[in-house]
Amino acid sequence: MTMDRAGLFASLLLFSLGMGPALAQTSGTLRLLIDPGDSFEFVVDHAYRMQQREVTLSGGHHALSFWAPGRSVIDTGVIIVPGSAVQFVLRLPHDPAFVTYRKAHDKWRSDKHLARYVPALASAGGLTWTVLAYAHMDKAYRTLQDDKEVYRTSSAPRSIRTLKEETIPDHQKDLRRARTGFAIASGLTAITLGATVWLWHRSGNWREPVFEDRQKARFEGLTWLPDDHGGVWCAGMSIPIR
Amino acid sequence: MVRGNEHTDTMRYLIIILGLGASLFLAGCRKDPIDLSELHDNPFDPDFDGPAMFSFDTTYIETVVADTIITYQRQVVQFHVHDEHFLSAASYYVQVTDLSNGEQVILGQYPVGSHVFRYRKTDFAVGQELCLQLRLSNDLSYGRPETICCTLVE
Repeated sequence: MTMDRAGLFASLLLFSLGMGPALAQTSGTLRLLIDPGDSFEFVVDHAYRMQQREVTLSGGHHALSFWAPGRSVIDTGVIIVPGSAVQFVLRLPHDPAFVTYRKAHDKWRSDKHLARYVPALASAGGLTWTVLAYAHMDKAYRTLQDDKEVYRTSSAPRSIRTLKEETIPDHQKDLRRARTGFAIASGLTAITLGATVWLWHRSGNWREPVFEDRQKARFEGLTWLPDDHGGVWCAGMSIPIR
Repeated sequence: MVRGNEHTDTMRYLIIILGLGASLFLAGCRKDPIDLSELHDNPFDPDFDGPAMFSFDTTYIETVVADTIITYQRQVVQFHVHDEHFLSAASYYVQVTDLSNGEQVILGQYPVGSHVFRYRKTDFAVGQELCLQLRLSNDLSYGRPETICCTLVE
């Protein structure tokens, strides 16, 4: 048995020494230039799932499937010439379903922002307007109070007549206008505040679009994922992303 | 879900009602402080509707000696102003219109700082009633006219 083992070991050694260069001559290098370059994955011969930019394959025809998040799966094949390096250039097309999802998601987000921030902006503007209108009204009110004090302290009949017949009526008109402006401003502000609260709450209930990545599910089917410790079998599963 | 919507609606109405209430309150705080129909309490106001501002004090004859040669007599009518009705301290004059001859003069206080005035009349007649129209004056404008009358007796 010992001799047998020694013989087997010697045979394997000879085989590896002799066949090593021969194996190198039977494989070729495939360099991948894929768009998108940072996130694509591929499956070789429907079995080995990889994520790298260069792969060494045995000579002959190999089936390749490429995929990247948000892109369609592309099935193709390459012929590897032993001892040579081949560049493979591919731009993965966008998945129409993902494009539709992106549009729906963008619209959802845009509508949500519109429903929340536009009324909030209007409310902020309304509040500013109301504060300014109040300041204007307060100023008109104080002017009339000053007029009242001027009447009290004045000792010139002519000035008093002018005050009563011209100045005070003008200032009373100003106050009436300012009060009307304040009423309009505060009323509109109250409405916009109510609308803001209502829309904020309502837009919170709007359902966010979800993306069911069928391309990923298709790509991820049952594959072998090699790694430093051998590899693992992967089963595809689709999780909606938001 | 229905309860949530009801809650939202309630909150919305509450905010609107509170906002409108606050604005009405603030607007109410700044109501017109002047009612022109009630603004008549300044004695310098031509439309003053308060009590009489002038009271007759006395009338008498005074003899005037000018340059120790010319001597003549004149009637003095003394009256005073009710300064307690002034809304604030004021300096002023009084316009006197002699209703017997239409003559108008502007008088200052005598003595200065008091509220006493003396109108002097040279063409007087003993036993004849003299009426004067008096008005507070400043800046060549005049307040409400009042009339006082007196009769000079021997």
